[in-house]
Order: sequence, then C-alpha cells, then structure tokens
Amino acid sequence: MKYCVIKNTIKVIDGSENPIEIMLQNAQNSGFTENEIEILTEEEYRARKELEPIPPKEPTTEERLELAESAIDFLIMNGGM
Amino acid sequence: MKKVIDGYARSQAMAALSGAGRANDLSSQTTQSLETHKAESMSYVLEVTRDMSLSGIQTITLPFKAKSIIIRAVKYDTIQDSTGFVSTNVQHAQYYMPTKYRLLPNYAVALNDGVNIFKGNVINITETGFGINWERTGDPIGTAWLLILAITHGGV
Repeated sequence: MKYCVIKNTIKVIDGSENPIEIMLQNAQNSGFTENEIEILTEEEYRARKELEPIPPKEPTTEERLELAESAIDFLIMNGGM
Repeated sequence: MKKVIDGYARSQAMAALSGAGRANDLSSQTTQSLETHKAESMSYVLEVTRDMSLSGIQTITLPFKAKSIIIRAVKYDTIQDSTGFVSTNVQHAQYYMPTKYRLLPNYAVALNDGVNIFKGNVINITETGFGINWERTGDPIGTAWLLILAITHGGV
C-alpha cells in the first residue's frame, strides 16, 4: 500500500494500491498540485505517523456523565445552586 | 436383418449424424468456456484510506468492471463506522451515529459523529475501477479506513 499525502504531513489524500498517476489525479481532484504532495511507502508513512503527537482522547459518554454528576454534586455541596 | 436404405433416407441419416457432431462440438466448446469462466477471478478485496478533511473524487483501480461493491468504513481509532452496498443501479449506506444506526440512500460511505458527516458516493464504475466522490458536512476530521469487496461476473 502507498500513501499520497500532503507534503510533510500524514493527511492522506489517497492510501491504496493505485498506480502513481492515479494518485496524482486524485490529489488534483482534491485541489492539490504535484508540488504540494508526496507519495510514501507503507514504512515511510508508519514512521511519520509515529512521530505525530497523539491528540488527547475525547471522554466517553460515561466519563462525561461522571464529570457532570461530580460538578452538580460540587455545586450542591457548596451552595452554588 | 438388413435394412434397405434408399438415397434419400441415406442423405437424411448422414445429415442427422453431421448435426449431432456439430452439437457435440458446440457442447464441448460451451463446457470449455464455462470452465474458463469459472476459473476467472470474480472478486477483489482492497484497503483504502482517506483523510476526512478532504473532499473531492478519489479514483480506485480494479482489475475488472465491478457489478457490485461492498464498502466497510471506519474512522480510525473510534467506533464510527458504516457499511455500504453498491450495485449498478443503487447504493445505500448503513451507519452508526451516537447512539443509533441510520440508513443513507445514494451513498456508500457515511461516517457521522453526531455533528459532522464525511460521506462518499460511488460514481463512474468502469473496466478499470470506480470513483468515490467525498463530501463533507460540518468539519469532519480524522482518517477514514475502508475495506472494499468488489464483485464482478462474466458477460456484459
């Protein structure tokens, strides 16, 4: 598998087994020129992905509920409501 | 017991035998064509990825003209997913949005976080592949990972 990405990023325009000319066409379809993209091998893509900072995980619905309950408890206990 | 065959009866008999021979030849050719056809590869599985911040057409290459396509899609590292069925005349996606499943006609992929939607419809199925026209509603981000099963059959 190859990855056509926006240069110096891991934003994948086309990750597939497509021939390179099709990948370039797909990049143009998304509004990018040949100079704005690069094609990475599986190994190169994975290596770059590992260097990317991991975004903080969004809380689950249960975690959100627990936080909301804690906030309500806090307000009630402290006379905020 | 000998049976006397006149000239007319003989020619009729020869014609019948000749016809039977041709029928046998045709049958043999048909069997061979069928065996060749059965040996052809009729399905193809491939993996495709796409950043969800990008719209536009993504062309996917195939070794044949697909007659039906199944697309399983997930947003990487989440539980957002969709399953799409495509035939030559219709396409439908079934997708999960918190906290229920929904159907989306005329699309083969739909990843929905409840606010932002990344959806794709299959277009232009040809002898060399097909396209997915990606559309965005809101501001979907992340990476869509697709597993595609394309199926074909002989004939037109």
